[in-house]
Amino acid sequence: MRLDTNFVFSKIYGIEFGLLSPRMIEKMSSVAITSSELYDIDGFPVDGGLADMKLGVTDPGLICRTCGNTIKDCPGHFGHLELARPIFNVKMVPKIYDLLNATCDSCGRILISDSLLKKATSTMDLIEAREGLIGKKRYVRKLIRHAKSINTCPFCHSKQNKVKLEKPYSFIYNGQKLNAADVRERLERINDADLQFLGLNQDYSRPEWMIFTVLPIPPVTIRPPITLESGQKSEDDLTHKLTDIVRTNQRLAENIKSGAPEVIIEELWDLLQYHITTFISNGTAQVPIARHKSGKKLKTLEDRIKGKEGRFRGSTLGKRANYSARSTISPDSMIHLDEVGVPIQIAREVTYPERVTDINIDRLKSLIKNFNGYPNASYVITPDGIRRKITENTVQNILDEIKPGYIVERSMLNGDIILFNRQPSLHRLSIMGHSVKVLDGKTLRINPASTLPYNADFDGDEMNIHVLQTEEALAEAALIMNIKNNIVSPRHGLPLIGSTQDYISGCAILTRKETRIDKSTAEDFLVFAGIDADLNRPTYSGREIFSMLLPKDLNFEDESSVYKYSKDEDTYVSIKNGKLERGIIDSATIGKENGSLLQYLFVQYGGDVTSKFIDQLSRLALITLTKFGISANISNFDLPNKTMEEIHKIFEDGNKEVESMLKEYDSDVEMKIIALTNKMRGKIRNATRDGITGTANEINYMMITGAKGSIMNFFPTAGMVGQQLLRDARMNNGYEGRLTAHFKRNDMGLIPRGFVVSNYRDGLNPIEFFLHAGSSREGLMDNVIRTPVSGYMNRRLSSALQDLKVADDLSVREGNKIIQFMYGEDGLDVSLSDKGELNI
Amino acid sequence: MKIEVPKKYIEKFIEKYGKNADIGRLQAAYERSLITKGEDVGVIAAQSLGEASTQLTLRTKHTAGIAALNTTSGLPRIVEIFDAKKEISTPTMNIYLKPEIEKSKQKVAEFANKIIEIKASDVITSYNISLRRKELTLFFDKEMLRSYGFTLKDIDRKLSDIKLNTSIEENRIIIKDQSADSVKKLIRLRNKIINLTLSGVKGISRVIVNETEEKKYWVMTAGSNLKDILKMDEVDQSRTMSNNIIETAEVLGIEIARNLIIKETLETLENVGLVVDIRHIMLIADAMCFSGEVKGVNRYGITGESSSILARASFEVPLKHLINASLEHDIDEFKYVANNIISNQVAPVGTGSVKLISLDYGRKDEGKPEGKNKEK
Repeated sequence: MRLDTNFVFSKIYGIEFGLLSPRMIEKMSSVAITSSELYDIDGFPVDGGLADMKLGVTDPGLICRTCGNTIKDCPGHFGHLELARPIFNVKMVPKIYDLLNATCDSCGRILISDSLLKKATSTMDLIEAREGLIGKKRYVRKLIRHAKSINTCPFCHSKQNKVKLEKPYSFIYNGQKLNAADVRERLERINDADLQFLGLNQDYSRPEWMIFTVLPIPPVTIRPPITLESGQKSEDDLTHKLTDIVRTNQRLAENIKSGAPEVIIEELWDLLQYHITTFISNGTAQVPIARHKSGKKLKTLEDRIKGKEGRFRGSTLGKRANYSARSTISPDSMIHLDEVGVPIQIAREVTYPERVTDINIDRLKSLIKNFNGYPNASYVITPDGIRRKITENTVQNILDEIKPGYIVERSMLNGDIILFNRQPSLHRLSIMGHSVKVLDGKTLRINPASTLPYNADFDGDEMNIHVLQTEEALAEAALIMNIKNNIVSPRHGLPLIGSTQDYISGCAILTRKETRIDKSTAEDFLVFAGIDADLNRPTYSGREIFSMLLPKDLNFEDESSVYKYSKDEDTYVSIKNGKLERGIIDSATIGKENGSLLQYLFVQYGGDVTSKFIDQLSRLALITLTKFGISANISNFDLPNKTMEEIHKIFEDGNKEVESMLKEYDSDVEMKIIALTNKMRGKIRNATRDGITGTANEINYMMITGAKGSIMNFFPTAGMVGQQLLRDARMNNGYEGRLTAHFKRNDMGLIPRGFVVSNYRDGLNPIEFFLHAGSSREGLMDNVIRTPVSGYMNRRLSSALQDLKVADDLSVREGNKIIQFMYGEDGLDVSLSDKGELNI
Repeated sequence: MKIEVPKKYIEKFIEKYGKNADIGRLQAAYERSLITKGEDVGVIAAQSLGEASTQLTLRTKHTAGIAALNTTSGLPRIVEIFDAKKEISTPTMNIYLKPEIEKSKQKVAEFANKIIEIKASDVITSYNISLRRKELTLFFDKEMLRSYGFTLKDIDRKLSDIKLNTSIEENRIIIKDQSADSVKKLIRLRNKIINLTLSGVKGISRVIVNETEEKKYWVMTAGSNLKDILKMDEVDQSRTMSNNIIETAEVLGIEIARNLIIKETLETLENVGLVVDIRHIMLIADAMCFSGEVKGVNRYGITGESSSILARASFEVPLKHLINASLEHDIDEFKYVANNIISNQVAPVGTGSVKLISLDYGRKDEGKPEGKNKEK
C-alpha cells in the first residue's frame, strides 16, 4: 500500500492579482480568432471560429486539439482576438481618468515634484509598516488626489489642461474627444518609476494594459452550447456577445483597410466598444443594456460573478453535497437524545466508504453478499481507484478479489455518526453530529428534547442528514460536533436541550411530596426509564425514584419554578449526595433554555452524563404521566365571580377616567390613554393571577411549573383581552371618524377605539374579533419584514468576524492584528463555564 | 503554557472559602473552563448575535409611561449600533448633576429648562422677503417672546453676533443684505436664521426629569450634545452619557465608545428579554474599535478591511475588489477562512489550525510535527 499517493501535500498558498498584458494574452492563447462563424454546414466547428476545437471541447467523444483530452479532463484554453483599434476596458475607466489627470499631458510624469516624491516614498514605507496595505492604499489615493489638483507640471513646467470624463467612456481634452488610441498613447508615456505612487505596478499592471488591443477569448468550456431536444444547438450568452464582437471587429478592420471615411470608422469603433463593454458588464450606467431578441437581458461576465447566485456566493462559498438525504421529521420519544431515526431507504442509498482491513473483512463481505437487502454494500473501490457497482453479475468476482486496501461503500448502520441539519442554519448548533438508528417508516425521527437548537417542530419541517466520508470528519462529528457535547449553548451558557411541556409536567408530578409509588409500579418505571436498581421496599416516593437518575456525588441547590410562585420551602430543590431531599423538578431545573440542573451537570460531569440523564428523565416523565396523568378542561379557565367583578370594575373605572380625560383638551391625551390601558392590562393580569386557585387547577399547574403557557396567555383567555394597538397607537383607521359603522363618529372612548372587553373563552363579538385580527396582523407583518433584516445583519457580522480566532496565548487575533489580549477579558468559554462565570 | 487565574476569581474564591483554601481547585476549574485554542470565536460571536436577532422585534415598543422618551429599540437599534451610524434616529442623553444639585428637584428642573434649545423658528411668527429693498423682515409676537423669556433686543443681539445688519421696528426685525441679488440668497439667509440657537444647548429638543429611588433627580433628553453639556458646571461628567456612539468616541475617546457599544447592545437585548453573553458583544465592539476609530460592521467598515481579497469580494461588490486588487498587484494569502473554503482547503481555524504529520510517510521538508493535537 503506497500511503504517500493518497495524501495531498501541496496547498494553494495564495493568489496573485494583476492585469494581462497584450503579450501575455497572446502567449496564453491557443488560437487566434479570425471568423465569426461557429460551425460549418456539417456542424463541425470552424477553424479560427469561436467554437474552435483548440479552445477546448464540450461534446463528449471529441478530443481537444490543444491538450488532447476529452471533455472530462480538458480544462479549456483561451484564444485571442486581434482588435482593429484599441478599446477601453469599462471597468478601468475611473482609474484611467485618474491617471490622465494625475500625470502631465506633455511629458507623462506624475504631477508631483521630485522632492515631494522622495518624501512620499519614505512616508509610504512608514505607513505600510504601521498600518499595513490598507493604510498604504489610503495614502496612494491621497497622493493621486493631490496630483490631480496640480496645474503645472513640476518636471517640464508646461501648463496642464485637464481631461473631463463624460460617462460612460468618453474623455474630453481641450474640447475634443480623446479616443482609446490617444489615451493609450498617453498612458504609455507614464514613467515606470511613477507607477508606485499611482497605485500600480510596472510588472503586473502597466497603465496601457487597461486598454485592450488584444481581447482574450474565454474557452468554450465556460460557455458550452446547449443541445436542444430538436437537435439544434443553443449558444451561451457569452458566445452570442463574442460573435457580435468578432463580426464588428472584422467590419472595422475591412473598413480601415479599404480606406473608408473617418465617420464610418468612428461609428464602427464605437459599436465595437459597446459590444466589448456589454461583454464585460451589462449594467454600466448610461450604456444601453444588451438584450436577446426576446428582450431578456444577456448574462455577461460580471453577472456570473456577482450576487447571491454568482460565482462567489453561489458556487464557491456554498457548495452542493453528495451523500446527503432529506426528509420530513417526526418526534420519537423512545430514541436517545443523540440519535436520529433514519428510514431504511435512506440508509441503503447513502453510503459510507469503509476501508477493508483484516478485522472487518468478514463483516464487509457479508454486506456485499446482501447487496439487495439491508444492511448492504453497493460499491467497491479497488486500490487503483476504480469504482465498481455490486450487482448480481459482479458480486461473486468482487467477493473473491476483495482484500485489505479495498474500500467498500456500505449502507448506514446503527451507531454511525452523521450530521443532522435544519435550515436556516443560524448558529453552529443547527448542524450537529448524531448517531444513526435505522427505523421503519419514511421520516427522520428526532427526540423532542433536541428540537430547540434546530428550532424544529413537527408541522411538516424537513431536515437534512450528511453521511461523513472521511475519518477526520467522523472524528470531529463524534467528538466536537456531537449533540451530547453541545447541550449548552455558547451564546449564553444555558442548556438548549432539555425538557418541555409534558416532560416537565410529568417530572413535576413525580417529584411532588405526596407522590408515592408502590413497588411493582416502581419496577415498571425503572424498566421503562432504563435504570438498573434494586427495589426492596413496598413503596417509594417519587423523589426517591428521581434520585436514581442522579450521579451519586451530586450536590445542587436552586429555586424551582414552583418555589418562585409559591415560596413553599418544600418545593425548593435541594440535592445532597445524589438524593433529591426536597424540591420539585420543573422548568427552572430541567427546562430548555432554562434548566440550571442540566447546565450544572454538563459543566461538572460532561455531555455523556447529561444526555443520559435527559434521556432517562424524559422516559420517567412519560411513564409518570401515563400513570398519574394530567388533563385540562374548560372549567380550568373559570375565574371566581369576585375576580370577574373585579376585572369589570377595572374596565368601568378606566372607561370613566378616559371619559373625564376627553372632556378637557390635552394634546397628550392619546398617550395618556395608552398609558392608562397599559396600566389596566397590568391590573387585569394581576387580578386574574390572584383569581386562579392553586395547583389543583391543571392549567395553572402547567403555568407555574413552566411546562406550558404563562399568565400572559391566561388572562386574555379567562379574564379580559384589553386594548388592541396598531403601530403603537389605539386603532383609528377605518371610516371617517370611527373604526367601523357601528360606532358614533369621533367617539374617542375605549371601546370605539379597539378595547376588547370579552375574553377568548366566552368569545369575542364580531367587531372585537375584527379589531383583534387587525392587531394580530401587525405581528405577522413584523415577522416577515424582520427576517431579511436580521439575516443581512447576521451575514455582515459573520463576514466581518470570520477570521477572528483564539491564539495559543488566548489572545484573539485576525491574521497578525490583535483584537483582544485575552478572549473575553478572562479567557473563559461561555459553554464550558457557569454562564460565563467561574463559580466553584 | 500555564495561564493565571484572573484576580477577580481569586478574590471571590478567597472570600468564599477563606485564605487557606486550596487554590489549585480554582486553577483546575479555571483551566477546565478555558476557551479552546484556535476556536473561531468571531463566528461564534456573530452567530450568537445573529441567531438572537431573529427573535428581536422590529417595531419600537415603548413600555408605556408618559415620562418615557421614545427611543429606538429592538432590531433597528442593534443594526444602528453595528453600522456605527453618525446620525442615529433617536439620540438621547442621561445627564447626572453634581451631588449638591441632584437632590433638589427644583434646581434640576431649572437646569433642565435651561438646556432646552430654543431656535429662532420657535419665536418667529412670520417673515417677509423683499428683493427690491434687499431685506428680510421677521415678525414676532411679543406675548410669545415674553413667555420664552426673550425681548426683541436679545434676538437682535444674537443676529448681530453673526454679523448681520439689523434694525428693530415695533415687533419686527429687519435684516438688510446688500449682497443679495436673488430670492434664493435671501431664502438661504432665512434658513440660516431659523436654525439659530437663541438659548439652551444645540440639539436638545426635549427634557424629562427623572427620579431615582434615593430621591435624586436626573435629566433625560431627546437630542444629544455631549461636548457642550459636559462643559457645564452643574454636570457630573463622570456619569453623564449619550447614546450616540460616534459622538462619544469624538468627545470621550475610543475606549468609552467601545464600552458604550457593549452597554447599548446589552441593554437593547435585555429589553426584549434576550440573553447574549457579554464576551460576544465585547468581541464585536473590540473588532469595531481596535483601529482607534469606530468602524461599522459593513462594507465601508471592518468587513471591507478584511485582509483577504477573496473574503472581501465574496461579501459585497466582488468586481470592485478584484479589479482594484489586480491594479495594485495584491496577493491573497490563503490563511483565512473564506479563501480556503473557496479553494476546498481546510481553513486554519479550530481543528484546522493544528497539523499532525507522520514522519514516516510525510515529506522530509514538512519538518517536525507542529503543535499538539487539539482536544475539546
